[in-house]
Amino acid sequence: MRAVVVGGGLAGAVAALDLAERGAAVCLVRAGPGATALSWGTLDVAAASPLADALPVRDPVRGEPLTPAARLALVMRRGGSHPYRHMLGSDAAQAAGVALVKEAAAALDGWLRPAGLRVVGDLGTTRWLADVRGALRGADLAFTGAAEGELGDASELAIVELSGLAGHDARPAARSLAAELAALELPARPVRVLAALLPPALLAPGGPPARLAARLEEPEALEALRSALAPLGAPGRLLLLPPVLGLLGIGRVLAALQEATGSRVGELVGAPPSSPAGLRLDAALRAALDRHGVEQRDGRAVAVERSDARATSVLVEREGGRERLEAGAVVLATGRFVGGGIVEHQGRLAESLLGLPLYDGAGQRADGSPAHRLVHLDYEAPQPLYATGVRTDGRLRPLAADGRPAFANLFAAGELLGGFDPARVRTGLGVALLTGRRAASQAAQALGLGEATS
Amino acid sequence: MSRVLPVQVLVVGGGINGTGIARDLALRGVRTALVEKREFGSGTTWASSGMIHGGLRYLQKDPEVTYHSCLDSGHIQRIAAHLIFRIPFLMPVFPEDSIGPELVEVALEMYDRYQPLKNGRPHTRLSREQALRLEPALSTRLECAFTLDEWGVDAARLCTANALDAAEHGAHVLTHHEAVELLRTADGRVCGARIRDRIRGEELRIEADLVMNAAGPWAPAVARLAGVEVRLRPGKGIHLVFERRVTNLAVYARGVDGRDMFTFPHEHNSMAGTTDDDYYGDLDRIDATEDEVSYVLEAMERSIPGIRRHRIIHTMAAVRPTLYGFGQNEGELSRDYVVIDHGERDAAPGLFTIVGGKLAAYRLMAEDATDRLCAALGVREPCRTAETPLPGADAAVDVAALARRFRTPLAAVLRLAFRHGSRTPRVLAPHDPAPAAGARPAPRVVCACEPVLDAELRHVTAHEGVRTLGDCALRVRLGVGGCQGAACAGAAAGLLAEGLGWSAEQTTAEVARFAAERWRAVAPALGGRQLAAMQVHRAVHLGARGFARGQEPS
Repeated sequence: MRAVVVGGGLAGAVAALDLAERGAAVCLVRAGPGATALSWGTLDVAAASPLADALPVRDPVRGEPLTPAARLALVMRRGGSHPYRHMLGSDAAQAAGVALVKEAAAALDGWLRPAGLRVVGDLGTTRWLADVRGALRGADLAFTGAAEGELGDASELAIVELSGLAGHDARPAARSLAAELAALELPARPVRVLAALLPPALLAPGGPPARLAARLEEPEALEALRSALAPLGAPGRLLLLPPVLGLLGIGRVLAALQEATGSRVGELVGAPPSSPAGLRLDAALRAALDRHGVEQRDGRAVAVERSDARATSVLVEREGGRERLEAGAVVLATGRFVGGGIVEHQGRLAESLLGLPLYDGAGQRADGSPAHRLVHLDYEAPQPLYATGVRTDGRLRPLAADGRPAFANLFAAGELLGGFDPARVRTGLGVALLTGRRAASQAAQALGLGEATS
Repeated sequence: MSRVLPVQVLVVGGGINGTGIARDLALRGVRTALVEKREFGSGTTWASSGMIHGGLRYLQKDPEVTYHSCLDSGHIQRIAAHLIFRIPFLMPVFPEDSIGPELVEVALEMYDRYQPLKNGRPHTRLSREQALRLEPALSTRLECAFTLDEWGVDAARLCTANALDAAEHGAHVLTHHEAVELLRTADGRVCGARIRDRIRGEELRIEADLVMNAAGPWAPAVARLAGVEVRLRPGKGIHLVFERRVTNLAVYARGVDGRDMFTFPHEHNSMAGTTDDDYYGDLDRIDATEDEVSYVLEAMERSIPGIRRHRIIHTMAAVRPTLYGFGQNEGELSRDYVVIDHGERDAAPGLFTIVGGKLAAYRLMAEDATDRLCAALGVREPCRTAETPLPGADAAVDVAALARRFRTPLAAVLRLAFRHGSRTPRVLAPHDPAPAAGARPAPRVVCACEPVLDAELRHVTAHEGVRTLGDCALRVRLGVGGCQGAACAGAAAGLLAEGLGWSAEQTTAEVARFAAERWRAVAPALGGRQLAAMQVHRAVHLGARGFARGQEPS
C-alpha cells in the first residue's frame, strides 16, 4: 500500500523522501511552489530574532550568548503548543533534541547533495549571515551559498556590487552591516563595497536575479564573473555577493570564484524576488524526489475518502481530470496561507482539504472565524492569525472537533501545524524538517513498515 | 535661539486646501510659508475618492455646491491635465429602488446642464441588456441603467503639485513640521507660529502678518492654539482598495441606510466607498473598522454580486472636516465651506480658518480664501490659478519615445508621466544613455506593483522634499499595491538613505515604520488571498528584521 503526501514544500518532500527510503511506495501531490520556494537560504531550527518574545541572541538573565541548542531548549521550556514539543516532549533533554536535528540535517544533506545543495551547520554555534539589505541573521543551519557567507573570523567584509543588477544596493547594505556588527557586539571589522563590472550582455536590464543565476552556470558567463572578481580577493577578506551564484550549479560557481580570488566567497541571504535561494531549495527537493522514485502529481488534492477511521484514498484534480490515489497512509503538508493549507472561504477560515479544526496562536478555535478578527492593528504584536494551524496528537495526527484523531492513518507536518509564528519565532523550516521526518515514521508504521522511530 | 523666518502669510496644513492656498498666494507674489505636520495630503485628501466630480449628490440640497464643483472641475482639468482621468459611471436601477428610472432621468437631465462646465458628456439611458454587456459584473436583477461622466485625480499628487508650484514661486514649504504654538503680539494679534520639525526635533519661528489655518480636521486644534473655537462635525469615511480593477466603469451602489456609494476604477486599482459617520476618536490614528468594511461590501454586493471574491489589499480611512450642524444625519450635512476671519469673529486678528468643502472645488475655495487674505494684506494681484498650469501640466510627453530612449518598461514610464507630466524627461535625465552623458545604466523598477523606478525615488528625494519612506506611499504610490511593500520597502529605503543621509539604524526604523503603517491599513479588511501576501510581508519585515534598531516609530 502506498503513502500519499499532499504538499511539496520542505515538510512534504522530507516526508516523501523518508518514506521512500523506508521502502514505501510514495506519491507526492503538489499544487505549486509554496513557502519553501519563498525561503531565504537558511534552515532555521531555533534561530535568533530581535523581536520581543522571540528567541533571543543572549540569555535574558545572564547575558551570555546562547547557542542554537540552548534556544531549542528554550522553545521546550516556554510551553505553548510549538510543534517541537511533539517531537521531544516538554521535558526532553537538550541533547536529545540536538541529536534529532543532527540526524535530520544529515538525512536532508544526503538527499540534496546529489542535486548540488548542501546543508551546513549544527546547533553548536550561531552562524551570522548578512542579508541583502545588510541586516544580520542569527541562523543555525544554512544551505550552500548562504552558508559560505558566514562572517566567522573574516578580518574584512566586502559587499560586492554587481554592476547593473536590480535590487541590490551595496552601499546601504554595507552601512547597515557595520551597524549590525556594533549592535550585536560582534568583532568590529571593516565593511567595504567593491564593484565588479560584468559584461552588459550578462545583465539584461530589469531581469530577475534568478535569470542571472541561471546564466552564471554557463561556462562563458562564469568566466566573465571570475575575471571580474579575481582582482577583488585579499587575505582574510570575505566577499559577499548578491544571491545569484547559480542555481543548482552553485557549488561549482563558488569553488571557481574562491579559486580565482583566493578569498572566501559567499552569498548574501535574501528572499524572492531579490534571491533565488528558495527556488534553489525547491528545485533540489524535486530532483531528490525524482531520484528516489517518488511519484509526483502536479495537481490539487480536493478530498480524502475514508473507510471507518482510516483514510483510503486522496482525490486529485489535475490537468486532464480527476485521479484517485489509493493510500495506506496520508501525510498532510499543505502549509498555511502561502501554501494553501489554510484558506478563507466566504469570509471564514478553513483548513482547505478536510475542514479540520484550526486553532489560533492564542489557542482559540479559529476555523469559521473571519481572518481579520484574529489580528491586532499593531504590526509588531503577536498576531494569533499567523500562528494558526491544526492540532495533533503526539503522533502528529490532526485532531477532529471531538479531540480525537480525525483519521488513524493521516499525519500532518510543516507549517500547517499551528502554535508558532515563523515570522516571529524563527523555526519555520526546522519545523518542516523535523515534523516531515516524524510524520514519515508514523506513516511508515501505519503502512506496516516496522516500528516508528520515536 | 531657534531660526526665524519672516513671511507675509503662514499657511498651516498641507492638504488640498493648504497647498491650494499657498500656491495662490505665491502666484500673487505674497511671501508665504506652508507647514504640514506629516506629508502633503496625508490627512483627508489622500483618503478621499480622488474625484473631482460635480457632486450629483448635492444637486437636490446644495445646488451651489454642484455648480461650483462642476465649474472648478473644468478648471482643474486644464491646470492638472496629466493628473486626471475620465471615470464613466454606471447607475443601475433595481426593482426595489424607491426612485424609479423616470425620476433618476429627471435628476440626470438637470445634471447634464452642468456637464459642459467640466467637459463631461450628457447621460445616457441603457437597457438591462446594454448595461450587462457593458459591465458583465453587474447584478442581473437590474431594470435599466444610466451613465454619467465624472473625473478622477491622484489627489495626493495634486497636493504635491500645488505645493511644488508654491515653492517654485518662492514659498517656503515644510513637511513634517507642526505648528505647536501661535505667536501673539502684545495687543493680541496672531503674528506667526512656533514650528517643530517632527523628524529632527528642531524648532523655528515663522513670523507672519497673517496665519491661515487650513488644517482640515485638525483646524479646531490649531484654532485652540489661539484660544478660539472652530466647530466641526468630523465625518469619518473609509474606502476599500482592490488589487486590480473590479469593474471597467464606476458603479453606483446603495447602502442599507440608502446612502449612495460606488465602486470605481482609480489608478490601476478599484476602490469602493465611502462611508460617512460622526467621528469622535483620535485624529492621528484613524483606522477602518469591521463594521464599516462590512457595510461597504454589503452595499456593493447589491450592484456587483461577485465583489467579495475580489482581493482587498488595503483600506483608507480619514475624516472630512465637515461644518458643524445639529439634528441632521451625517450625509445631510452641508458640503459647503467657510472662511473665518478670527479678527472679526473672535478678537484674534491675524488668524483665518478655512474648513469644509470638497476636493472638486478646492481651487475655487483657495481663491476665495486667498482673496480674503490679500484684502487684509492690501495685495491687489488677481488670482491666476484657474489658467496657470500646475508643474508638469504645461505640455504632453511622448511616453513611448521616452521608454525607448531610456530603455525602460513602457508601463513604468506611463505611470511616471502620469505623476510628472512634462517633467518626466527631467526625472529620467540622470539615466541618459547617450555616450556624451556617460552612458548611465537604465532605470530600475523598485516597486513592481505600481511600478516605481529608482529614478523617480531619487528625483522626489532630491527635488520634491520627500523626508520619509511613508511619504513615498502618497507621493509616488510606493508599496501600496498587492504586496504592500514586502518586495520594495527595503530597497526603496536604501535609495532614500543615500539621498537623505540616513544612518543604518534610521533606515531600519523607517522600514519598520512603513511596514507597520501598511499593516494598519490592511488589517481591518484582511482576508482571502491577501492573507498569503501578508504572510510574506511578515516573513520579510519581521522574519528578517535586523538587530540595530533606530528610534521607535513615533
